[in-house]
Amino acid sequence: MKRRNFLGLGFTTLAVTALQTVGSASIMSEHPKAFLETSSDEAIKDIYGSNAISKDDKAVLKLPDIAENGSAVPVTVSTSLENAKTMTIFIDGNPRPLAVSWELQEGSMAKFSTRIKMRKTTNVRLIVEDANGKLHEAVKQVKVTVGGCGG
Amino acid sequence: MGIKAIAKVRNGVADVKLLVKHPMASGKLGGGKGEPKFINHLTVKLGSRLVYDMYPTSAVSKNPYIRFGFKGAKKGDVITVEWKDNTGAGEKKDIKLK
Amino acid sequence: MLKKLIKIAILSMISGSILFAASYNAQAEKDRKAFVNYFLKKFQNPVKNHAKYFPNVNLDEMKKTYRYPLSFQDFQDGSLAWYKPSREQFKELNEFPAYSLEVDDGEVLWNKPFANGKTYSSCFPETGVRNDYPYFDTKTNEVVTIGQAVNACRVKNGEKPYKYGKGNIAKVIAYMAMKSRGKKIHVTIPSMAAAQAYEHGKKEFYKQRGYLSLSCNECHVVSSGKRLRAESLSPALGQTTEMPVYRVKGGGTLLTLQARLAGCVKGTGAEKPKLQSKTLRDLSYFLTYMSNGMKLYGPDTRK
Repeated sequence: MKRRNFLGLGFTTLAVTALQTVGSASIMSEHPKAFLETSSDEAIKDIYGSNAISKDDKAVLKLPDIAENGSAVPVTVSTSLENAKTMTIFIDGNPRPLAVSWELQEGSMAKFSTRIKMRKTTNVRLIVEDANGKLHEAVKQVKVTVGGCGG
Repeated sequence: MGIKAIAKVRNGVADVKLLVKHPMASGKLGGGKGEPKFINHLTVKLGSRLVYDMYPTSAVSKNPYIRFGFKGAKKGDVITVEWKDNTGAGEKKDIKLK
Repeated sequence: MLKKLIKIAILSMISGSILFAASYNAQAEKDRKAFVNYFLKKFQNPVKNHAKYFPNVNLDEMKKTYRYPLSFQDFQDGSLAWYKPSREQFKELNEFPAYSLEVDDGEVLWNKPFANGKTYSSCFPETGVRNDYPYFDTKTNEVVTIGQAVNACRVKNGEKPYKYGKGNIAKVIAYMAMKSRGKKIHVTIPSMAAAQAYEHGKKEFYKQRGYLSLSCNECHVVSSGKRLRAESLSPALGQTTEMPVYRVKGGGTLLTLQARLAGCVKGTGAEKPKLQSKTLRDLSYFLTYMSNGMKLYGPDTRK
């Protein structure tokens, strides 16, 4: 696994070493700068270059239309593609859009759930990298309100 | 910090739900105060086989909940969950699949 | 003949006083039945009864997003009972509820002995007694909340009381609530003083407060089942069953009923009442009484 020296970035919050994982390099080791980008487009460019991204039904993004609360928005990502390599979520309106990434393994079910933080109403993107390195994208706008009594 | 799990196997496919106690604090990164402290790598292994490899940021909610599945599992298998955060802290826990 | 008449007179006096004793809750029972009937009718078929109960709500939206009819026990879920999108989202959020970490902490606190060696078990017959609170203490003539009972136990055993509202007290109550799941609320009104506390709580429920002149009644009875900005107004029936409540907001905080009542009042633009004040205790007494017979389901996750 290649390791980048990015002490020059002046940011000590990114770990230089990841956990010991078997297999190829990860987004974290290969494209650490992407985690610091303040726009989805820049982060996507850092990781995938200017490769074409196909908006199709291969990337499936499940999110509520209106988040009950922006601090914990349930999200499930999945793909029907066999042997997809990576799945990554970008939250456009967040200070740092690259939110979470998964490296799929042999025998992985290509479906992951977690809860994400959303600063405001914005688009959430899922990019799936398939076995051939082609990119598939799904986008969904999630409405986030701030404040309120709780009902 | 604490890892709770509900991990089952049905027809050779494991369905794992984890709840990890961790502040996932964005701090200055999110325009707030204080130092960021968040899990930035979480892996799950079945023996030496890597079955889950996740790279969260502080955009993942506090006390992260994650759910995933993998093939080639059977009841009684033991998976090892391990996470590390940006401050170098970490935790490891073995979980038996039911 | 005279002996017989005297016997009858004495018997009727005794039964009269028994009846009189039982009538401390007569008004409350009338209120409760009317309360329950209102909600059952309202949420029986909101689409069909749109004109009567929801005249200004978008009917097409209702058809898509409202869940009905609601049974009596359904009201334990608050606005998640009737508003489908929220219900779906909370189902996901509860796949592995974050409050389980709080309950675990509460269990540790419950089992940890005090400095004198005793534990909370010495004060409570069992852990799952959440449904016995609040109750009216006829010796002190005050409504007693579960938070007060937990702290009374601590003080009795030489420990400092917890701060009310959230933190350790909420965790201990969450553990008690978890053990109380399925138990029915059974608030009683055993004396004249209790009936007065009930009436005071009722008054607080209907009182208009703050610069918006809102009352509990306005949002949680009259406007229950409606959406207000991004909020779905929960019906007052069943409101105390999910306590302590794990609010997702702000990353997740576990709050007691006292804290939630105070916070809601503050949220409506009124002055925040003090936790465990007579106002909030009597209000919780009235509110919980209205849900008599309902099974507890706490803690639970809410917005």
